[in-house]
Amino acid sequence: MHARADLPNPLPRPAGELEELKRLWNPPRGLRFVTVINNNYIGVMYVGTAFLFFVLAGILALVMRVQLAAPANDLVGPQLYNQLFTMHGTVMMFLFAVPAVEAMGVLLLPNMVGARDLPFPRLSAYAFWAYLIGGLVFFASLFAGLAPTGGWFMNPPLTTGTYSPGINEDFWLLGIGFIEISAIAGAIEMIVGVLRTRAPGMTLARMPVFAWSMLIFAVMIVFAFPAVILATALLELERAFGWPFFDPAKGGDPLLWQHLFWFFGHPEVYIIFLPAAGMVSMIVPAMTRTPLAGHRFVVLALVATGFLSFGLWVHHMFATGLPHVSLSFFQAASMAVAIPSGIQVFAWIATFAKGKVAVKTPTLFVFGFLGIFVLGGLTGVMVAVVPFDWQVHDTYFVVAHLHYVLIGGMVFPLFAAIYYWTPYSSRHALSERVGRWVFGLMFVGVNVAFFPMHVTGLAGMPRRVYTYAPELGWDGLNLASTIGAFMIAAGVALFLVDFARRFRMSAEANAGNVWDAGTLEWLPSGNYSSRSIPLVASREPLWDQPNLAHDVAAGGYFLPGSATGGRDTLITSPVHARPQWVLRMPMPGWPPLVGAWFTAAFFLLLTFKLVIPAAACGAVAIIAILRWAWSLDPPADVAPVSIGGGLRLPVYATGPRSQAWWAMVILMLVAASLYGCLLFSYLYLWLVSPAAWPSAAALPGIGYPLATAACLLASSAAVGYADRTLRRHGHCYPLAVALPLAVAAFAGSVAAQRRLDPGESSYGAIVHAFLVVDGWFVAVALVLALFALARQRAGLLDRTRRVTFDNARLFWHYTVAQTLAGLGMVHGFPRLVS
Amino acid sequence: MQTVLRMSAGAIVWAIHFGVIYGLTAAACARNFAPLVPWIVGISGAVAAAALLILMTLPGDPAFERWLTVGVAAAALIAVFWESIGAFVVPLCD
Amino acid sequence: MLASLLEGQQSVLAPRGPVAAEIAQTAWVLFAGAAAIFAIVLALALFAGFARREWAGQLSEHVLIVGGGIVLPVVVLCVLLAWALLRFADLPLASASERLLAIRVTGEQWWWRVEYLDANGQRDFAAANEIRIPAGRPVELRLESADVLHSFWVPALAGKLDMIPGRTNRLRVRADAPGEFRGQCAEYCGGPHALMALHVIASDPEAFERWVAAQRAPGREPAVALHERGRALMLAHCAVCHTVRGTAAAGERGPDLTHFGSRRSIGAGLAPVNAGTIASWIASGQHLKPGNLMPEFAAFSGAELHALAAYLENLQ
Repeated sequence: MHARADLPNPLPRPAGELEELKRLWNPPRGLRFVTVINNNYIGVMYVGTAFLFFVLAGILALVMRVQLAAPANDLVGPQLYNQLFTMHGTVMMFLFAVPAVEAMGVLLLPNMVGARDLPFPRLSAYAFWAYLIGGLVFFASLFAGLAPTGGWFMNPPLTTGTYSPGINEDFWLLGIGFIEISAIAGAIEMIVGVLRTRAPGMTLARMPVFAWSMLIFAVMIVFAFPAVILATALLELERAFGWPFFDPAKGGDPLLWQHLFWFFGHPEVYIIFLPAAGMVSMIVPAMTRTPLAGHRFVVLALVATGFLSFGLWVHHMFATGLPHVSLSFFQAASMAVAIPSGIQVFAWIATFAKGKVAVKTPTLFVFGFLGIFVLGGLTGVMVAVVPFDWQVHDTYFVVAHLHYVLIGGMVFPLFAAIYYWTPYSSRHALSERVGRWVFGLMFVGVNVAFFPMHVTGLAGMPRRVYTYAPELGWDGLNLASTIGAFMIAAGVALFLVDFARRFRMSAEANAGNVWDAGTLEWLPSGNYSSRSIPLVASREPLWDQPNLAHDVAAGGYFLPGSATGGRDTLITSPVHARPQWVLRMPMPGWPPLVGAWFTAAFFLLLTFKLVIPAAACGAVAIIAILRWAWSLDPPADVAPVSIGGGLRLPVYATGPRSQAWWAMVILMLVAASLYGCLLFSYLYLWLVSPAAWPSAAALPGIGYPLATAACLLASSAAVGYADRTLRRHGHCYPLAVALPLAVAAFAGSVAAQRRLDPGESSYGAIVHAFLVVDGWFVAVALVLALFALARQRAGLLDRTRRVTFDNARLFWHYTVAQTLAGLGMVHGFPRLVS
Repeated sequence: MQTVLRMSAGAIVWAIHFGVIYGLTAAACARNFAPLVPWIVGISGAVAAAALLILMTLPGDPAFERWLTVGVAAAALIAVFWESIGAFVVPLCD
Repeated sequence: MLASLLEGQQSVLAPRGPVAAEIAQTAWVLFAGAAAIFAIVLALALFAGFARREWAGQLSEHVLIVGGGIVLPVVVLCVLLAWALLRFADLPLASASERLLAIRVTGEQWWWRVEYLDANGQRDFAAANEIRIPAGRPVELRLESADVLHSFWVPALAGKLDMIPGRTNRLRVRADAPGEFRGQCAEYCGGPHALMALHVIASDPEAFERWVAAQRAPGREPAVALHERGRALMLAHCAVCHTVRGTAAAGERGPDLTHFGSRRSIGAGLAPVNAGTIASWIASGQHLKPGNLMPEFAAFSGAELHALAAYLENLQ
C-alpha cells in the first residue's frame, strides 16, 4: 500500500471496504423493496410516474382533438369535455411537468455533484409516494364523472359552491393541494442538496449548469407555490363554509383568486422550463465534445429568468379591466424576461459552432427544442403587447403559444434527456434508429398540430370550447391539428415500445459513459454513487482530470467507504465546497411510505366529506411521521472520522452548518411567502371593498392584540431561556412554559373576533383566514416543542445533541414574528386608515 | 452567506421596486389619485436604479460570484427602466 | 382558403372599427418581426451545427452571446416596447367627454342580456344576444356579469374585455361602416360556454333610429288565431322567466322576447330564428345546448308547439 501524492487516500484500498459500501447501499429485497429511499430508484420511479401522467393526459387530449376534428360534433358533450380539458391541463401541469423535472433532479443531482444521495432521502420517498397515490386517485375521478370542470386555473365564481355544487372542484382543491406540498418537499431537497453536498473543490463557478437550474427551480417553488396553496385554501373555505373571499355580493372579488393563482402560475411555467434548459446545457457540450460557451452568461440567464418571471403574472389578466398603466409594468417585464432566454439560445449556438456536433437522438431533440421553443418564445413576446393580447387572449393563438413553449421548451429537452441519460440508469441505451423515428413523428406532429392553431385563434376560435359552428370555416385547421396530435401520439407510442424493450434499470452495471461526457454523473458508480468522492478542479472533471474515473473507482479520493459504519455523505460549504462534516444517512424503512399513503388517504377522504375516516387516516399519517421524526437527529457524541487527505471531520453539526437548520430556514421562507400572500389578500380586499371594513370603534378592543402580543413575546422569551438552560445545564425543560403561553395567545386572538361572522363579509372572512393560518402555525410550533421535550425526557437531547431543539426554537420565533405581523395588520391597519 | 446575499441583492431590489410601483399604483387608481402615479413610478425607479448601481460597484467576492452580482443587477436595471416607461406614456388609470 | 378564413366574421385580421384596425396593424408588424428573427436564429443554429467546421468556427463566441444574446434583444425589445406603448396610448379607448350611447351588456350563463340606456343611465329597452349600433359613431358598452366570469369579444371591432361580477368594465367601440359582426364569450363560464355567441349589427344612423323606435314599441299583437293561442300558452308557461312588453309577461330571468322574432339567432348564436328552430328549442333545448338554464317543455303537444312558435316568430 502506498500513498500517491495527488490522491487523498492511499491505494489499493483495504479488503472488504468496497463490499461493505455495497452492502450498506443495497436496496431492500423482496416486498420490502417498496421501502427503498435511494435516489437512483426513487428517481427512476418518479420519472416513470411522471411519464405515465404525460401519457394519460395526452390520451385525454386525443379525445378532445377527435371531438374538435369536425364542427358540431357530438362524440363528447360539454359535461365530459369540460372535465377532459380541465384534467388535461391540471394533470400536465401538476402531475407531469413539475414532477418530471423534479424527478430528473432527484435522479441525477447527487451523482452530478458528487454526493451519495439527496440530503433527505426519506423526504423524497414520502413526496414520491404521496404524488403517485394522490395523482392516480385524482385521475381516476374521471371514471366516476367526478373530475373537476373549472379549468386548470379554477376561476371563481364558477368554481364556488353556487355554480359548481358537487365535489368535483373539491377533488382539485384537495387533490392538488398535497401535490403542492410534495413540490415544496422537493424544493427543500434541491436547495440543500445543491448548496451543501457538492464534492470538495466544486465551487459555484465549477458547478454544472443543471445544478444551477435545479437550485433556481427550487427557490422559485419556495416563493411561488405558497400563493396557490393559500388560494386553494381560501377557495375551499369559501366552498365548505361560505367565507366570501371571492363573492362580490359580500365584499369579495373574483380577481383576488386570479392574482394569487397567476402569481404562482406564471413562475410555474419557468419552474418547468429552467430545469429543461439546464439539461440542454449539459447535453449540448457532451454532444459537441466542447465546454459550454458563455457558461457564466448561461448561469446569469437562469438567475435572471428566475426572478423576472415573478413580474409577469398580470399578463394572464390583461383583459380584466385593470388600469392601463398597471398593465404596462407587466408588458415591460414580459419582454424583459425574453432576454435571458435569448442569451441561452445564442450560447448553445456558439457551442455548436465551437465543437463538432454528433448527430444522435439527443442532438435531434435539442435542435427540435430550439426550433419549437424559439417560435413559442416569439409568440410570447407578441402576446406581451397588451392590445394584441386583447384580441388573442383566451383564443387558440394562446393555445398554440403555450404548447410551443411547453412542448418545445420542456418535452423535447425531456426526451433528449431520456435518450442522453438512459445509459446512466440502464444496462442498455435506447435505439438510435427508433429514436430518429420518434423524433421525426413528434417534431412534425407538433408543428402540424399546433402551428395551425395560431391561425385558428386569429380566425376567432376561443379556448375551452367543446365544439364550434360549421359556418365559421375553422374545420380544416381543426382537422389538421387533430392529425398532428395523432402523429405525436404515434411518436410517443413508438418511444414507449423501444423503452420497454431496452431499459433495464441498473446503477452499477449501467451502459456507461457512451457519450464521453465530462461531468461527474458519468463516473463509474453504484447505488452509492461513485466509490469515492472526487476533488473537483474544473467544470468538466472527466475531461480535464485524466485518470479521474479510475482513481475514483479505486477509492483514492474522499470517503472511499463508509466512515461511520452506515450510509454517509459529505457536507461542504455553500460557495467554495470546502468539506465541513460527514452526514449520517438513514436506511430504508416503512414510515415514509406509510406516512405518504395515509396523507394521501386523508386528503382524498376529506374530498368525499368522510370526516371521521379522514381523521383516522390523518392520525395514522401523523404517527408514521412522528416515528420517522423520532429516528432523526442521531447521537452527537461520536468521534470525528477520517475521510482522507488528512481531514478528520465531525459527524454532527448544529446551527447554520446543520442541514436540518437549512431545511427549517427554507420552510420559514415558504411560510413567509404564504403569509405575505395573506397580508396582500387583506390589503387587496380592503382596496376593493372599503365599505366592508370596520371603523376603529367597531374593532375589538386594543387590549386583545396587546395581550396576545405579550403572550407571544413571553413565549419567545421562554424559548430563549430554554436555549440558555440547554447550553448551561444540558436540558430545555423551560420550553414547557412557552406552550400554555402560545395557547393563551391564540385563544386571545380567537376571542377577540368571536362576534365577527366570517360568512357575512369579505372582511370577516379574511380576518378568520388569519385565525386559521395562525392557528395552524401555533399547532405546528406546539408539536415541534412537545417533540423536543419528549426527546429531552427520553435522554435523546442534550447540550451537544440539540438539533431537534434548535429547529423547534427557530420555528417558534418565526411563528411569533409572523403572528405579530398578522396582529399588526388586523388590529392596526383599520385604525390607521380610519 | 454574504456572497449569496450580494448575488441575490439585484433581484431583491427589483422585486421591492416592482411591488412598490404595482401596489401603490393600484391603490392610487382605486382611490382616484391618478396624478400621483408618475411620481410613484419616477421616484421608485430612481431609488431602485441608484441601489442597483451601487450594488454593481461593491467589491469583495471572487471573480465568478462578483460577475454574477453585477450581471443580476444589470438585468434588474434594464427591467426597472422598462417598467417605468409606461407611466409616462400610457393613459393612467383607465 | 387561408385568406378567406381570415376575412371571416369573427376574424382578428378583418377589422371593421378603428381599435381593431390599430391592433391588426400591430399584429402584422409583430408577425413580420417574429418571422424574421425566427428565420435568422434557426439559420444560425443550423449553420453552427452542420456547416463545415472551418466556416462555423468563424462565428465569434463573444459576438454571438453578447451581441446576439444581449445587445440585439435589448435593442429590439426596447424599441418594440416603446413603439407598442405609444400605440397603446393612441388607441381610441378612453371614454371621451362626448356623451356616448350607452348599452349595458350583462353576461349570463349562457346568453347576453342587452339593455340600452337613456341619458340618465336608466334602462330604455332590453334585448338579448344581439346589439345594434349606429355605424360611424362610437358607443359605450358597459360590461357586467350576473353570475360567473364571461368575456365580451367581437374581434371585428375591438379586443375583449372581461365581464366580472361586482364590476362594470367599459368598452368603447365604433364600427366604421354598416355590417354584421359575430362575437363569442371568451372566458370559460362552464357548461355550454362554446355556444354563447352574439351578433353586432351596425346600421346607418337613420336605420338605427328607426330600429330603436321599433324596439321601444311593445310586442306585436297577434295577427291570427294561431298567434292568440300561442300568446295564451306564452302567458301561462313563459311569463315567469321572460318579458314580452305589452303583455303581462314580465319575467327577468331569461332573455327579453318582445322583438325576438327579428333577431339573427336563437340560443345565443345557435341557429336562425324560424318556427321550426323555435319549436325545437322549446321542446328539446337541452339537446341543442346541454346544460342551459331553460328547462325543456316536452309536455307540449305538437299543435301547442306550433302555435307558440308561430306567436314568437311573429314578435318582430
